Formats: sequence, structure tokens, C-alpha cells
Amino acid sequence: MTDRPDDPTVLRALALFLEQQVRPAVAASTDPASSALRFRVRVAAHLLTVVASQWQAGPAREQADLDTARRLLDEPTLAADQAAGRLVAAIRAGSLDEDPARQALMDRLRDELAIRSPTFDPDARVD
Amino acid sequence: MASPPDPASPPLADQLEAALSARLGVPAQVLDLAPLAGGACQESARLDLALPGAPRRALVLRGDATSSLPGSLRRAAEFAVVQAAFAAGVQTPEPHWLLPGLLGPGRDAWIMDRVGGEALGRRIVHHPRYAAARARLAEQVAASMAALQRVSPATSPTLPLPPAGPDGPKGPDPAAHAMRFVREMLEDLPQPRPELELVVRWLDQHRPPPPPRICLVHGDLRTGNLMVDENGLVALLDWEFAHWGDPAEDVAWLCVRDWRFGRLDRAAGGWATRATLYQALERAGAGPVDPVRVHWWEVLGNLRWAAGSLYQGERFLSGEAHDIELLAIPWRVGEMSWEALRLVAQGPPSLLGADRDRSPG
Repeated sequence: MTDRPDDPTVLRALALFLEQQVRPAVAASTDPASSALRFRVRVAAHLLTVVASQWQAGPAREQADLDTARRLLDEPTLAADQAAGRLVAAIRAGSLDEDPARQALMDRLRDELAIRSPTFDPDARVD
Repeated sequence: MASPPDPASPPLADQLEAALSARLGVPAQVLDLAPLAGGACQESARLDLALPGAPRRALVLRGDATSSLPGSLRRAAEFAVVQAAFAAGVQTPEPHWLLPGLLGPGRDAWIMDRVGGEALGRRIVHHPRYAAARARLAEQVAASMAALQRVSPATSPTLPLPPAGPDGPKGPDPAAHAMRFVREMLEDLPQPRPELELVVRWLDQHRPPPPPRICLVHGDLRTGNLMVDENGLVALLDWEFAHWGDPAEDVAWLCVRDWRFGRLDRAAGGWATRATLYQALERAGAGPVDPVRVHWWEVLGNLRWAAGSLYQGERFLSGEAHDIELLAIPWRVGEMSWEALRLVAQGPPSLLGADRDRSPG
């Protein structure tokens, strides 16, 4: 099997194809169903772009999530598949220091948002 | 519409004509019946009604779907709620007739006026055509919210709604009820989200005391459920989450970040500042607004929408629905999680009035 083109490249090309070729063609249609379809073409392109980014950033993000959980729980050997569940249990039990925990989890959310919600500005002023 | 037509039953238009003729005592003619985009727990259709010697009327039918979301009303209860709200002066399409069993055993439907306008949030918030409307919305929505507050368990004891919450020494406690509901939602989700647990913990520790009064709460009052035209508010729509509760809940839900469609400076649905909305509410008789209470409900609103977004993904994964946007919505959970934690970190507004320095408008 060849990895040229690699998977993220294919996914991004598909996203561009949907945005730049399929969407205008659907938009030009006079069929009343086309507005729902136009919306879904956009959703499909967005999903492909996100999947491509996750493909590349995924392993590093998972490691960072695990590092955060290990640090907050002070358990350096915690297994990855236990991390979220153990954090939830510790928060429910009130055994985590909440301000640093919130700060650390918001830092992790920042990375998630950069990939999944690129138009969401976490630093925006919100009234 | 979610359910395929049943070839054994007569077409809906025929059933409707029969039901309406029986109800009204004159031959009713149903014209141009066509489905509207449905929600998860109701199905809607537009229709025109012609009665002998009367002008043709533009109407909407809302019917029970085969499934229902937890916490949502069935149509018979919804009809009673909208009647009470309409009678109290809430701007909403006039409800006309409940038709029990119209769509099959246990599946009722009701009929209301059809109103014109724009309901797409992004357009209401951004389109130049609605600039004048946006300037009026705070006052108009506040008037309807004040009318909602005039409907209470005392004025409408027969409304088929569950109690506002567990009864404490100071009366029913809607915040405790809401916490129980959202915790159940989170516990049913297959994947834990630690940041949402932090929000739950903060909410538990800062729960407001029972509200001074319990009233009818719309339950989904946001840009997207407001029908608007160039002159402003046409109608509040979608009453399926109505319940007895704390009026601060509707105020907060209206201000949840995601319904602002990018206008983060205009807390009230993307069309008015927080100060403008609060002042309009107080002028309309829906005050005083307690900003600390609203802040708590706004944190809860973001948590609820975070959990709700994950549920939308579960609907796809269970095979119940196949629309691809149901895959994109749960991936937005970080946005609502972030906003909830940001509100927690910021803390409740100072009672001495951080808003006072901010100019309204």
C-alpha cells in the first residue's frame, strides 16, 4: 500500500471539491430541496476537514489529555483508557483542586476547539 | 416528516377534513397541505382551511411524532400551555383546535394560525433588512416574557404540567429539578467529559435559593425560535419544552452564547445588549432581573446545550436518524463547554452592578 497521497490529503481534497464545485452547483439549482442539500454539502466539507486535522493532531492530543489527567490526579502511570473516567470520579468526589483543574481542562479544550471549531474564538470578549 | 405514510389509512388531508368538519359543524375543506421541517418530537404541516362563507385561513398543524425527547411535552399539553400563554398576551400564533388521535392512537395534533417572517437566527442577527427589527426586539420579547410571568400555577392550576421541582420549605425548587435532569442526561452518555463534571460541581455549589415566584417558562426561548419580520417580533414559537419554573431560566437561555450567532457583544440573542434586555424586562413588569440568578442559569444553559449536542450525535449512532449534521453537532461540544467554564471562571456579576458602567443600546 502506498501512502502517497496520504489520508489527510485525500480528505482535504474531498472537502475542497465539495466546497468549490459541488456547493455552487447545488446553490444554482432551483429545486426547493437544494437549500437543505447546500447546507449538508457544507457540513460534509467541514467534517472532512476536521477529520483530516484530527488525523494529524490526534496522537499528540491524546498524549496531552493523558498527561493532563496524570498530572491532575498525581498518578504518573494512569492508563489512557482510564483517564477521563478517573477524572470524572475525582471531580465528583471533590478531591481535585478546582481552579487548576479548570485551567488545565480549558487548556485542553483550546486544542480541541482549534481543530473542531476553527471559527470559535476562545479569547473573544463575551458580554 | 419522520414517519412514512401508512397505505392502509386515508390521506391526512381527508382525516383532517373529517375531524375539522365534525368539530366545527360545517363542511371543512383542507387545501395545500404540505409538511414543514419537523423536530424530533413533533411533526408539522402547513395547510389552508376553507369554510363555507368564510375567507381562506392560513394554518399550521403540529402533531405528535412517534418518539419524544425527555422533558418535552406531548401535543395535548402543549396546546393547553399555548392557549394559556396566548390568553395572557404572549405574542404567539393563536391556537385553535386540539384534534385527539388525529395521527393514530395516542398521537394528537393541534392547529394554530400560520404567521409569516424569518426564523433563521443568522439572518435575524446579521441581515440589514432586520436592522430596525433588532432595535425593537428587546422591548417586544420582554413584553411577551412579562406576559409569561403572569401565568402561574395559581392562575392556571389545571395546566397539565408537572410541579416546578421538589418542594422545599421555601416552595418548589426549579434549580434542583434542573440539576437532577442534566445529571441524568450526563450519566446516560457513553463517554465521560471531565470538564462538564466541573461545571456540574460548580452549579451544585452555587445553586440559587427557590425563586420568589414560579411562572410559566417557555423553555426554549432563543433566536431560532423567534419569528421576526421587518417590524420586529411576530411570534414566539416551539413550546414543547414549556414548564413551571424560574423566569430567570428563560432570560439566561436567551443569552446563551451560541444563540448570538457571532454578535458576542449583544447578549440577548445577538440583537440587544444585556443591559438593554434587562431594562426592557423591568419596564415591561418582568423585573427585577437578578443577574446572579441569570448567571447561574446561563452556566446551566451552556451545560444543557453541551449535553444536548452529544445527544444529537447519539441519535445518529443509534440509527434513529441519518442526517449528517447530527455528526457535526456533538463535535461542537467544546464550544459550550468552554463557555460554561469561562462563565464559571468569570464568576457571577457583582451585585453592585458591573453593568452600570456599560452604556445601554
